[in-house]
Amino acid sequence: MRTNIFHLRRIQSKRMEITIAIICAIIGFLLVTQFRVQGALSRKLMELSEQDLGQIIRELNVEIDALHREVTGMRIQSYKYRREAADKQAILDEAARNLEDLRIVAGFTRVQGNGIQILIADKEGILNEHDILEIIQELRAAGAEGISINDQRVVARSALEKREGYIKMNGKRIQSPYAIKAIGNPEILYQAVTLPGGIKDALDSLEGISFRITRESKVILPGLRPPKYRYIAPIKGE
Amino acid sequence: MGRLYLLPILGLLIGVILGLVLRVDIPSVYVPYLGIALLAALDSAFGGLRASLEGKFNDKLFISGFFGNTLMAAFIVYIGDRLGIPLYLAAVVAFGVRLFQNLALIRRLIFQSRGWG
Repeated sequence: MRTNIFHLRRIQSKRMEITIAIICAIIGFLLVTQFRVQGALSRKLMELSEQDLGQIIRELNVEIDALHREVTGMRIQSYKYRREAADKQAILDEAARNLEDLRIVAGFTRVQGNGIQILIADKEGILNEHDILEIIQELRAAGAEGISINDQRVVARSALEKREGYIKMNGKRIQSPYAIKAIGNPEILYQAVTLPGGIKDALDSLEGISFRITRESKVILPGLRPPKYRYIAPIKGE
Repeated sequence: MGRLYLLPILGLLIGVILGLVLRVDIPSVYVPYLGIALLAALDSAFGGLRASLEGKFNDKLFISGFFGNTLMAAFIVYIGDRLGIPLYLAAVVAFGVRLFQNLALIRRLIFQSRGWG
């Protein structure tokens, strides 16, 4: 009778038996995983001839070159985009400057500068809109860049309307004493108004009117709120 | 085979099935580590089998050896990689030689126990 050595073995506790079983499971798991991964890795390359491997290397090199080129292309493109963005910013800045200029011209902003101030007191109420208009005309002809009457900015759409005892402009009432401010070359404006036989002479000759003009180093003109345009629209493409 | 080997074999089967079912993918960088760890684990397993056949099986020694050898083997490969020395060769040789010795001994022990020798 053959001696069975196995019955001599003693594994004391059930726990140890289970631990060993778990270790065996780990070994099995590792074995299969390694077989699979290693097999997949090497099988492909092992089966190939030297020429095929060389071909693979050449193809990989071509791919690497292409990727390098792609990187360079991307860099150039990114540089282009960045420059384009900078250009766009410059255009926006330019547009913002233009808008500011246009707002100044249109009279929608508070502005300041050298100029003159004319104060006219009309006790009898004999001045009419034509007299005021004539002053505005004269100042504009002398190169005034901005004009206001009694803190109402004179803009392109401003109109003077004669009413009972007062004049209406920009929808507001304007009456004596009139404070007319203009920004421009103070000397030219001053001379345009005080020209012999000019406005000053004409108004001074009238009864009950005092006319005072001063050169100012700092004239502040108010801005007019931009109106809502209901009828007018730009023509596209022009 | 006795009842004693039923559970370990069952464990081995479960592990194999798990490996087949889960299909864990290992990044190719780590394949050498897993390989050497597996070799160490196999060495431990056969060492354990031999010890049990000789009647000198010590479970604590076996378990600590299993984990210790496995981790140390992977670590040695890592160090070798870092130093630029193929240290894994040393691990392969050491574990490989032991594996064959253990296998030879196991064969002898089984022959003896069956009275074939």
